[in-house]
Amino acid sequence: MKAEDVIQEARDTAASPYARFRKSLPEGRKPMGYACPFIPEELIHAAGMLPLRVYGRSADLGGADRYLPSQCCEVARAMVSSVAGGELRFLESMVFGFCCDTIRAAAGTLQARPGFETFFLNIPTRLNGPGVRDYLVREIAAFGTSMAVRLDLKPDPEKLRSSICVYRENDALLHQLRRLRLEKPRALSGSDYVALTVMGQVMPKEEHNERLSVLLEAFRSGKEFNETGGGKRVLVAGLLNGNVEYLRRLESLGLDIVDDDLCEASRSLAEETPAETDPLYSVADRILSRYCPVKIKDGLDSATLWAEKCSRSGAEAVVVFLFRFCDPQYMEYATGKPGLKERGIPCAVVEVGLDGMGGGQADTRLEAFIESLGSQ
Amino acid sequence: MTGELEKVAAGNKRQRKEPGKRVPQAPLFLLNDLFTRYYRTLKKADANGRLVAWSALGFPKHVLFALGMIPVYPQFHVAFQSSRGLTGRIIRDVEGRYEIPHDICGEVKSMIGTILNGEKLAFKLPEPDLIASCNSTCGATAKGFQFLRKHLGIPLYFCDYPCVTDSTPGAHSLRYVRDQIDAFVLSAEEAHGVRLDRKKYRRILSQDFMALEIWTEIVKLCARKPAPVDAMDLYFFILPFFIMEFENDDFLDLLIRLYNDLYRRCEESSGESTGKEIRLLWDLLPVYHKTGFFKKAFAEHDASVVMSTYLTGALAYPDGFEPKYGFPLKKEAVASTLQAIPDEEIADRLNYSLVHDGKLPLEFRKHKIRRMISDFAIDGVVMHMDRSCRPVSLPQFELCRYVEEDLGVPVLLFDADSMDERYFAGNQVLTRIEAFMERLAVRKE
Ligand code: SF4
Ligand code: SF4
Repeated sequence: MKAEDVIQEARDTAASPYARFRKSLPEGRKPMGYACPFIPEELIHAAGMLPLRVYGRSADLGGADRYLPSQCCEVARAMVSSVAGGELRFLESMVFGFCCDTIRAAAGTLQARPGFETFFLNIPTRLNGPGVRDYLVREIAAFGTSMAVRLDLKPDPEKLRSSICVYRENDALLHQLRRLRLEKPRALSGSDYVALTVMGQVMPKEEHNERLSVLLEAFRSGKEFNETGGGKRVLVAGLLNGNVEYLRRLESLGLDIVDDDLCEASRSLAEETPAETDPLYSVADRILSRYCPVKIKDGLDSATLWAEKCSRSGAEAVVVFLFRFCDPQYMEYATGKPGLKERGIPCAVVEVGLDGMGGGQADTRLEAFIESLGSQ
Repeated sequence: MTGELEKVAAGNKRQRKEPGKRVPQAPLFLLNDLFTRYYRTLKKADANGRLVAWSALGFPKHVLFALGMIPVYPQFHVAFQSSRGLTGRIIRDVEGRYEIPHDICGEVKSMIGTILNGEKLAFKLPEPDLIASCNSTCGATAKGFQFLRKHLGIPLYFCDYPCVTDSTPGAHSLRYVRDQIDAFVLSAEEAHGVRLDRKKYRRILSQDFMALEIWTEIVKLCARKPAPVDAMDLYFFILPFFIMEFENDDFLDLLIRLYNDLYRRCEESSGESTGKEIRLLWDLLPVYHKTGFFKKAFAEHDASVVMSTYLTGALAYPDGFEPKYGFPLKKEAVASTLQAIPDEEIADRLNYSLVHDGKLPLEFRKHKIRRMISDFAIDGVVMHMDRSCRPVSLPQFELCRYVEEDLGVPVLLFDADSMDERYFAGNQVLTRIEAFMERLAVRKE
């Protein structure tokens, strides 16, 4: 496979992540949906299943009223309706990690569904501090047991070890790609980078690793694929429900996306942590190494993280994408914005929906923001 | 605040058609007195040199008091603000000032507004020295307190309450919460020079445990026919449990008085039920600023709220409905049950006693409503879909479907906001109540 083909495949996948499942499911690997990247994917992988990130489809939103009311974010509404009767109805099981109260409620509505296995994993809200790691390890172990019982699987510690290796390789490759983008901004656009990460969430990790290796090889030999940007450098944050069109829109307005703190990309990517002898601790550490604004980590918050990322990547501003009704992330944004301003980093929030950025209003807001950057 | 309670009571007097549903006078006066003294203590907190901890609902008060601190629970104070119809303006101001959208939880915004913007309260809250935060009710509060910490520049301690995935919290969840509270005590002792007073700790634990026991007895009485009291008026009686320290047994005495008065009322009115009264179950929080509206609208139809899912607590549902301690209820009888239970177990129980319904599995909530419908002989369920409170309101479609279709009990599901008056469409709600009552009346015939 050539690097160009990998990029095209990523763009197509991000545009329609589940197209490949329309005709048939991957042979021998039943997919298990998951809602939030803070789940132990390695356990699902080791059980011979395909962990499949669930991005609810806007076409299925019409059926959402049966499950969740309109004062719920579209992310959760579409997730539930897509799984219950929409594009993702081929799923027979799904695991929810505790992310926010909305996800907890979404899990509840699917729990009553006959013939469908819903797992719920209490990912701690704290990501560091007393008892957190041990608590998470117990939760992961309980999930493993419940999966084995309810899906009639035989846990195999050796398989878990090799799954951990596959995931760690994936982390390492993605980190290389991120670093390379920082060094060579012309290599790959921000939107294509995020499309690649989204692709990795809906395809077997081994295949994703192969694709990433091909790309890295091409970049090392000097190939460049970024035809966008050239304007102000920005950091993008928040969540897109897998829809990279929003990023393309920024690029088309002349912005250069140099780094991210997106749910689809950086927040899904674990830091490289030392391997532990007990595999469950390795799995837990992959989860705890990350940060997300719905969580609480002593010594870290979004504003600090964004400021660090801006300083490392040379980003001059932050654009945050948020969905309506997202209490935790809006509150984190409101908390962090004054601090960023003090550091001289302009920051704007763009409210997005599954069907777009709220039309002309969001565009006008973005254009005004870009203009204000120009005058700084 | 005192005036507020009186207003509620007076409102009841005007609106109620049938006598006997008002809260008996004596416990109401005792409650007013308790609150008056409580706000006086708060006023003097700075002068007494005690550290003030602004706390999230659910951060164990027994620990804070035993450390010599004065916990202040802003969520409760804004509930009072809301019952006076004052939060709408505060919320609008916060939205404009801090770029927080209108659809984010009104309770959190009211809390921020009352604290940061010098909004005049009906009472004075002492300045905080630290924040004791947790997510026992929801993640929105935890984020709200982080916001406050940023603006106030004071230390914040956080306790993470995992969701309950079974009918009770698992052992490792309890252990996790305990570990965090122990770590908080150590940090607080080191950072603020305070010491945990074991004797006081034990005293508060005992009092709270006994208060919960008596409360459960009061809840049981509400299952009687006719119901001895309008449950909407009981919300105020549980508040001291969440927020106050009692130097003596005032609160226990008050609850005992309430129980005994209600018990007497039950005995006196037994056999008076016409069988026509409509008994309602209220799901979750009241619409604080509209309690009078609902009571009046229900009373028009000889209906009243006999119990609320909120008042039975997340995990404190009576095991049976026979009085456990006889009549008249005496403190000593309740105290004797306490002796057999180790402190740690009581602490675990109390730590989790405030966990919000949103943290429980939906199946558990269904099970609880099913039990309540049968135990309290409920004719219809009123579900307040509180826009602010997503953790509990989001699953209400499924709960409503379950109650209507699987249990065959009519539901009135309406949309409002416990804090934000902008989201209350009075006429619409009234029309829906009328239709609902007609439906219930037909079923009663
Ligand atoms: S968008 Fe916000 S509220 Fe919705 S699922 Fe994600 S974190 Fe939760
Ligand atoms: S209303 Fe609900 S979501 Fe808002 S702070 Fe209270 S418990 Fe949390």
